[in-house]
Amino acid sequence: MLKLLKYNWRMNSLTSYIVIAASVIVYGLLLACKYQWGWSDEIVFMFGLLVAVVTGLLFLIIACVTFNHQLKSYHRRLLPIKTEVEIASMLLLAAIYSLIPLLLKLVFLYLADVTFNYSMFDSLLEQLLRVDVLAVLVGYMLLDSLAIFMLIMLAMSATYAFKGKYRAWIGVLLFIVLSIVWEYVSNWLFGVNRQGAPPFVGIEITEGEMSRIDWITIRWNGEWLKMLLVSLTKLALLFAATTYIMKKHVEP
Amino acid sequence: MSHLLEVKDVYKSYWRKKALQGVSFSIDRGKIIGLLGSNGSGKTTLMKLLAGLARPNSGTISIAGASVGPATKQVVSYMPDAPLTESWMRVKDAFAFHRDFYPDFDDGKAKDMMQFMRLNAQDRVTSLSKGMQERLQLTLALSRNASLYLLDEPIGGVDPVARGNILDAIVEYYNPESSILLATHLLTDIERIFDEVIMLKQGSLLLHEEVEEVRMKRGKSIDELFKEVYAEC
Repeated sequence: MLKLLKYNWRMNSLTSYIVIAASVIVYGLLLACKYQWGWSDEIVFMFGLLVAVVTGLLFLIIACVTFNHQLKSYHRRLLPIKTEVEIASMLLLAAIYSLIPLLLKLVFLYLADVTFNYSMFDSLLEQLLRVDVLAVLVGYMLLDSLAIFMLIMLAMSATYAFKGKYRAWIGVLLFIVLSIVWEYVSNWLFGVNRQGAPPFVGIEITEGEMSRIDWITIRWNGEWLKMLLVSLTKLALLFAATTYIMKKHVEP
Repeated sequence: MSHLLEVKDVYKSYWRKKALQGVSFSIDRGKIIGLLGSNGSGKTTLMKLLAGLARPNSGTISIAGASVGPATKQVVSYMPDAPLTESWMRVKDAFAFHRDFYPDFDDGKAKDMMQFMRLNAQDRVTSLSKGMQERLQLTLALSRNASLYLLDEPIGGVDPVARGNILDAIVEYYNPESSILLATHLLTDIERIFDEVIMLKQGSLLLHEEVEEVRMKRGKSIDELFKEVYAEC
């Protein structure tokens, strides 16, 4: 698994370093905008968020291209490794690619030291950056990213399981249908108005009586274990389905 | 004694196109077998099935007693008609890739072959000519101490001098304990190295005989027989 990860990383190393370098340069420019030219913290924060999202999307594309290569290259399909190991290696790569933009964003937030005029957001940010909350948020984000990537892998595998010029649409339809089905299942299990997003912590807003200032507190969601198990089950089911399709139906 | 390769009643279709129809044969160790046929006869499809890149619709394939899967991929070395390398690689990276994933990769053999084929470890694979890329592919395939080598058109698209070198390399570096299944339709240069021939036509097995038997029984070379059999293809 690690050997495959090594070669997948090397295959994309130039592109990855360019994306990282570009993010670092843009973050650096944003810091310069704040400290040299006096841009407001809110604008710097929002642009920083945009950079993180774009970087994350670029890494998602790189991961998808890598999996596409894994599916259709003869020399990759000839390797004497189990399908489960191939998929696990791809998930590990996706996890690393998810953590890179997050890490860059956190370093940027630390250096930027944003302070919002509206105290509610200040309070929220301060609490979100607590170690225990941050660890849970990172874990949730990773699980969610892996589930999305796993769904994309399943859709791509399904595409390659068929021949013909419209096979890409089979993968697209599968992705959409499974996303909708999962949303229904989640609503059925946890209710439409399920508390918290992310699901492991909840955000409670209370109004102060005297100063009429809203405060935000973070609290643990009571159903966190159920939600975690459901997320892991979803990942396991997607993993099993992708393994089955790759073993039985994918031919480069 | 069990055979190294056993193919029993294999059928393979791609939608409505029948690529292989009821193909059965077996191969023992220590043989060089020519897999012959015109374009579209099913040679590459059969190779892909043996290498584990495709699955038959019906029938069984066993290699060294095992069904095709990760276990057989460890003992089968396949040189396809597609690259075994990635565009970012140098020649040394291609060797490292195969060394990392195949336990039977022989470093000493690889170095010898690299010199024989006049490959430079620092060259980027994308900068190699077609002939040099064929040499690299063959080097990577033959550097393994596999039980079964599958070579799909190893001399296609290569000049006559290079063809001679490649054939010499196959004979030089071939492990006598192993078998080679070599698919080709260029027979003039290659006939001399075959022990047996298998002929496919429109997905069906026409013939599987020893080369000497063909020459004695039919009084023809393999090249002449090939032209006769595939005249209308």
